[in-house]
Amino acid sequence: MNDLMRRLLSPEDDGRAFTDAVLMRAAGALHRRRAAAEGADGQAWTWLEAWARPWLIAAIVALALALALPVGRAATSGATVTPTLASDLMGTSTGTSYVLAETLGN
Amino acid sequence: MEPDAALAVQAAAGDREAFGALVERHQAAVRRLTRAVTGDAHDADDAAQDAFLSALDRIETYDASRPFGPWLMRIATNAAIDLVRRRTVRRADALDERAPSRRSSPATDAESAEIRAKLVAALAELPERQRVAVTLFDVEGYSHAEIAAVLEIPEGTVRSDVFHARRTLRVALEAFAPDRQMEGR
Repeated sequence: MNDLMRRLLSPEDDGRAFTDAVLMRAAGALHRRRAAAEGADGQAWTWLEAWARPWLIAAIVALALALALPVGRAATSGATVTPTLASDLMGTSTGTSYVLAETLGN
Repeated sequence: MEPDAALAVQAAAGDREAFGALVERHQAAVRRLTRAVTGDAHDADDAAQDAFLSALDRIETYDASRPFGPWLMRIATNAAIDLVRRRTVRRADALDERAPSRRSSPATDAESAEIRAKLVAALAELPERQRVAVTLFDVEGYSHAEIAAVLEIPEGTVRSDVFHARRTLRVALEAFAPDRQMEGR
């Protein structure tokens, strides 16, 4: 009976025409789905273009500043080293006495 | 062969080839089921097409961790029942419009046609749910549990439906195969 039912209910064709008919009827829905999927990607790029680019620029500027600041500090600290050393040398009493003694020939 | 779940994901994104592969893979089973429910080859193909379109429409609801077949069969069952209820005029001899028997003898052709007619009539007498249950069980090889999931009814009800459907069909066909074991599984 199972075989008989299977034979009775089975389509005689190979299903290609049926598949084509379904695909034809589904063409609109498939197109909408494709468009939606592509649209979602497009929206993502638009969002990136609208938001990520300013943030990217801001990030680059911040990075540049972050790199520039230590250089500036180093330059600033380099300028203060000499006077500090000089003043240290000048401020040393033994050093001053030695220089004066040499100068005066003592 | 690409799994149904992967094809379903691609079809959800509008991939025509993937959806076509799903249709090609499942069309025979879906059409058998809709034929059992509608009793009409043309109505059955209409319902089967509706089922595939409906499946595409709600493909996001398909749980990829589960088999695709039962999910599709549930949609096909509903599509076929909906179509039957929409139709007010039905062709009683629709399945007789099918291709001629593969047997060559006129006598056996006549017998085969009579058997088909009896089976069609017996199927038509069954309640829709029993038709679906016996088709899924005997033709598609689904288990009682799977059919219960498809029809969203208790497994015991499926067993009862299959039992009663088989008994009705057996009675209808016993004149043609009195010595045949029809209980099957």
